[in-house]
Amino acid sequence: MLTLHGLGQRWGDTLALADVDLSVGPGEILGITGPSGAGKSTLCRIVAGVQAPSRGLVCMAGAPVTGVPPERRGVAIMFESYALYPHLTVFDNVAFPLRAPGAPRLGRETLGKRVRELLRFVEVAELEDRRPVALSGGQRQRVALSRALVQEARVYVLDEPLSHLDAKLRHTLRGAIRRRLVRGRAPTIWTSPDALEVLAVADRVAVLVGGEVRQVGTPAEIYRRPAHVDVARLVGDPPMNLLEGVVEAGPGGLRFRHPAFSLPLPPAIAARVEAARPGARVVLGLRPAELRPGRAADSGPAGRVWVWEPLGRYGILSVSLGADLMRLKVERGIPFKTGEPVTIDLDAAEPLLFDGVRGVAL
Amino acid sequence: MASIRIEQVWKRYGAVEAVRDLNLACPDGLLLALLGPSGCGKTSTLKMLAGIEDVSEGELYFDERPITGLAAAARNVAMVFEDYALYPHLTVAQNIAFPLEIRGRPREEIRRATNEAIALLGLEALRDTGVRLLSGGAQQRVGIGRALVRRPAVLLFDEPLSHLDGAQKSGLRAEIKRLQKDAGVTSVLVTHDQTEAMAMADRVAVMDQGVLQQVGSPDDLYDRPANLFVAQFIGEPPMNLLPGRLERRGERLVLDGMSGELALPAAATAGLAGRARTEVVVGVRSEHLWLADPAAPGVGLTGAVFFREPRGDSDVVLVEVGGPGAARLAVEVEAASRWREGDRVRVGVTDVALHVFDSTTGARV
Repeated sequence: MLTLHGLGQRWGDTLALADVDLSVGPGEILGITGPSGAGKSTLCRIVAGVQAPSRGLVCMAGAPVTGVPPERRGVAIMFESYALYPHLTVFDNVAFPLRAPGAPRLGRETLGKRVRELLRFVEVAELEDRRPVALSGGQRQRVALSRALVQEARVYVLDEPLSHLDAKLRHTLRGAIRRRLVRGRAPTIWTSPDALEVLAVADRVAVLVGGEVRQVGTPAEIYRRPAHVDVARLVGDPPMNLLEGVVEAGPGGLRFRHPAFSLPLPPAIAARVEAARPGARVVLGLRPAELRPGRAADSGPAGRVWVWEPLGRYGILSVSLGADLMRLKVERGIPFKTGEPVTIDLDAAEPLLFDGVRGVAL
Repeated sequence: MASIRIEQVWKRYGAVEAVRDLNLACPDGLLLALLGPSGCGKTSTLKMLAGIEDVSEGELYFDERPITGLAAAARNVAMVFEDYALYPHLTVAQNIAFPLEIRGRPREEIRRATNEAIALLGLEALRDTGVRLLSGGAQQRVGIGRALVRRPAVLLFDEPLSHLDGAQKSGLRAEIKRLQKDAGVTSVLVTHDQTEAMAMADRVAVMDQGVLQQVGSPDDLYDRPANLFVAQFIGEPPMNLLPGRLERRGERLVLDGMSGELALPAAATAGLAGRARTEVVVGVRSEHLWLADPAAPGVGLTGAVFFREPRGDSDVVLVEVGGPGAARLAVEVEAASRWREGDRVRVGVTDVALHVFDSTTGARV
């Protein structure tokens, strides 16, 4: 069990991390996502002990590890920057933690077997005699990854482990790494600026924005019930449509009013908004896959086709709606012409509403 | 504006043949994407069009006029770079005006053209901001403005989105597409990212090892990949490829391979009877496979769930068939599915047109 209590990191006037409380159970993968500068790498470095937090505690198995030097924490970290040893071969880079003082002594043969198993796992077996300078970015990243996974660690920290790999390899390695990690009992932290990646591999996901945890939950919770507008902005492909407007009272109940359209709020949301006064600024969230394009005569917000991006089986239709763009994820088949009028059918939509000032979900 | 034609073009670096006998065209006003992995020859092709690299053999035409012998400056092409390549000490407006300033254009023309570009890109509020203070996406918009301000005959984009993350990337992707259409400028986009190429281009040229594999609309490439390379490169998750032998079972054809027989839908095998008892590779997109309990009646491969990847709108389930470490099939199902790692499942094929490739040449059958 890894627990973080009230972690804070201050650099001069900037708060890189603010009051972060997180826990990762045995054999659990906690994904951490957020835009660049959110504090993901800072958090990783603090857990590994290569950086001391301004405040707060890191505990492993219930005991604080503050003051325990990195080499004695039993944390296997893969740095975002790889941090490979330029003078060592691929093999020796991966073998390095197994030969470090304090590591259980392994026979030459056992060590070779362990290292080569990992190099095969990340598909760089044929490169074991090369030095890092002779590798591509993606190959270096895989060497750094195997140097972390080769260890029998108490905690694994993978800071953007797959960001420089091509789509196909990223796709196959995701599942393979997850299976490998959850077989063991060690907690894992896995970060990525790509929310889709951590939602695919993690048991739970923490969304970090500006050093603050916006939400922690299972992938399904993060997808279905983002707790903050910052979370909604990061998840989904394409991400959720977020439209600013106000709540107003109408004959049939509360409505969301946007400069280009007005929408009755579903009763469940309206009940919660009742507390917030009508006239309050809010942000409406609509998932692209829940919107359908309609004919110009249909009811629903009316806009114009801004651009159509075909992506194979489906495509992304961007519709201009006043000053905003609304994105629809639609099955292929209907040809869309730039500039033509289109309405947006909201019948299948399950809208979300966020406070326009604080950003929290209503 | 100009149409582009590339005729029997080769690029050699010593003994290395970076581009081999390339024939390709882009009609006036369209966007052509050059797509492929690193080393496929896409960047060499772009550089030859820009005039930064010599053509080893062959001819390039703009509007059917040969330009191979023209210096870069005489071709009226503009480039948008991966790393923006802006002047960091200048403002947005100064960066955009720069190409006209160094050409000594009249004050009034520079002012008007710069304002037009700034309006087109929606950069009015940032015009006097130093570019260092801008986000990556805004910097790249300035890069595009600087390229457009010269009214080039051809606009060349070299991996314009690769330094951006998530939302910025998909936002600017749509914006470039719209801008390119509004400006009507013939454009060539180099990218290794199939999503980018599909989303933005009118025509996509897929290259591998210096050789053009296929050129067509995004829908063509997705629906009728010409060979195994294109089949694997286009689409996400990548197309499932099942090697095996076509066998006749009564009226139907089955694929014998991957430790089991897979019944192929009738629609998929029309016209393939002559291929019975030959080795092929069958390609199936993840959305054309279905999952059921292993006890379910019907024919299909059985396997075990290796990994379930939730994607919000759908789950991609990787199924291991033919034992551990053998083939893995990606199956896309509705979210949130009930399948979990280790579950035994039956995998079937929906009755749609499949893709069949010759196992030796890789060409579409």
